[in-house]
Amino acid sequence: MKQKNKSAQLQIGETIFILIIFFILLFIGLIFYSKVEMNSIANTKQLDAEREILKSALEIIYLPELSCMDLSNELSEGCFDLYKLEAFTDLTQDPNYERTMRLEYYDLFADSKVTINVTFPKDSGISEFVIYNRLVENVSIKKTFIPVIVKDPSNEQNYFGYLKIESSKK
Amino acid sequence: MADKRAEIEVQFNWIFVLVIGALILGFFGTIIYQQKSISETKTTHEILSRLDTVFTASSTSKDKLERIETPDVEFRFNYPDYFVDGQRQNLKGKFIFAPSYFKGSSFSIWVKSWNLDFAIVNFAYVTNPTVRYYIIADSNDPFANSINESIERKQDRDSPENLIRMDFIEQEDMNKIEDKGYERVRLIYFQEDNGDAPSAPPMPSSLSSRPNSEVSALVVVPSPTGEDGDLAFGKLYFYKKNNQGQFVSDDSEGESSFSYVGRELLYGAIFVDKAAAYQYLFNKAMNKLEIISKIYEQRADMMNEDNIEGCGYPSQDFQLLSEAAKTSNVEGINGIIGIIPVLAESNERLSAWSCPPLY
Repeated sequence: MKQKNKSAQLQIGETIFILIIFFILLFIGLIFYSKVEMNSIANTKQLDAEREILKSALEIIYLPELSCMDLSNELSEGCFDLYKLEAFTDLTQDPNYERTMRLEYYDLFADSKVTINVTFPKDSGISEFVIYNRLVENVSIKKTFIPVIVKDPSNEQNYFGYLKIESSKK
Repeated sequence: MADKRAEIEVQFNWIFVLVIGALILGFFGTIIYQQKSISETKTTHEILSRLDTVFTASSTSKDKLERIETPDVEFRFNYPDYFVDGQRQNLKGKFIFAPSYFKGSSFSIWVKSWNLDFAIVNFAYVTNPTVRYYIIADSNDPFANSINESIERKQDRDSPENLIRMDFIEQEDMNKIEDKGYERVRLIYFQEDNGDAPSAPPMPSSLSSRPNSEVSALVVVPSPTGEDGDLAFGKLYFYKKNNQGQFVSDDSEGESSFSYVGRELLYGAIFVDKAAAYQYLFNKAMNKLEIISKIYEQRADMMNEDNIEGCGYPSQDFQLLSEAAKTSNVEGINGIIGIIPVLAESNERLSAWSCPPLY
């Protein structure tokens, strides 16, 4: 009789032990799965950030307030009008319009710095235009470069350059 | 004693099994529920990301109409945000003219450049097969017909997959409009300018018992001189349905009457169904026009300073345009209407003199 009782207790003990091992394995599996998911989310975040910068670049290239216009008053892709660049830059620094420009273009540029540099010909006398600057300090920066053309409409001269977008990483 | 103990142990075993079983089922049930929720959030996030790309592309495209397929979701537009199945996303300054609500597995997007002799910004018009539009006008009204045709030209009318469900109905046939079960119905009335604000338009009998939010109206009063050529302008009056089955002014969130300058703004008023939505986008458009005018003013000044081959650039006209856009009231709109042809003429003259263009 006593042996029967001890056998029953052993049976319950076995079951409890199995369940404990089962739950431990389950939690290990969950921890592993959550690590994988977190990595996946981090990758997605990075891809999203890169996509955002490319979208901004695409919109900047097609901005009517910066782009060259052809003879039929249509926008020329990838071409910036030199006078418009100067006017835009001046307007962003004009105390009367600085706030308006910042509010108008924050949706597009957010916390970034947008610069257009002229690189060729080197003796063009034109260097760079900082058309927007709301870069957040003390955070990591992501930079994107896109080749563009800057056109001087007064003499139809084209210059090679690049659009640089420095984006504050959140 | 031993027998009674065995009975107690058997019952205890079953209780133990039930409790543990419930715990395990509950645990997995919680995980499944959370995963379902995470999966739905991920799907909505992907839809929002894709939509953002579509809307970004719209700001760079030329005149085109296309259909975008999505999962079966609910869209709400409450500017400056839009919602997909309740998840909010900011439009980030894009000009998207859309109904306040639609649901479905696809929507159409039509992109046009708002152009007052120079490009200002791209407008995107969004709609869905569950939204029905009726243009109600005199069949001899050339302007109403031209608006209808410009939309029809963008799509194959015989195709069952019409991207914009729009019909032209004569005023006297208005009560022949049937309630075909569309989720939203928008009626666009064209009236002549007789100097007074129009009275509320009549409600087709088949729509009078529809829920108020599902029926809206727009009255377009083109200016007599604003119908020819590309620079169309006039007045717009927004109406909503009340509980008595009639149209009343949609002024609960602000003004209900506005102007339009250029057909593109008129199309925008057709595709939004609330006055507040049009007001928000109209004000943004005027801000944009003000900034672009200011840039062109400074550009003209710089070109004058550089004294390019004796070419003279009318920067003061851009200054007037910028100030007119800033006020954006009736005087401002009249100012814009007056200056644009002057600028166009100046640009043609510069082109004839082989001078660099004005814009």
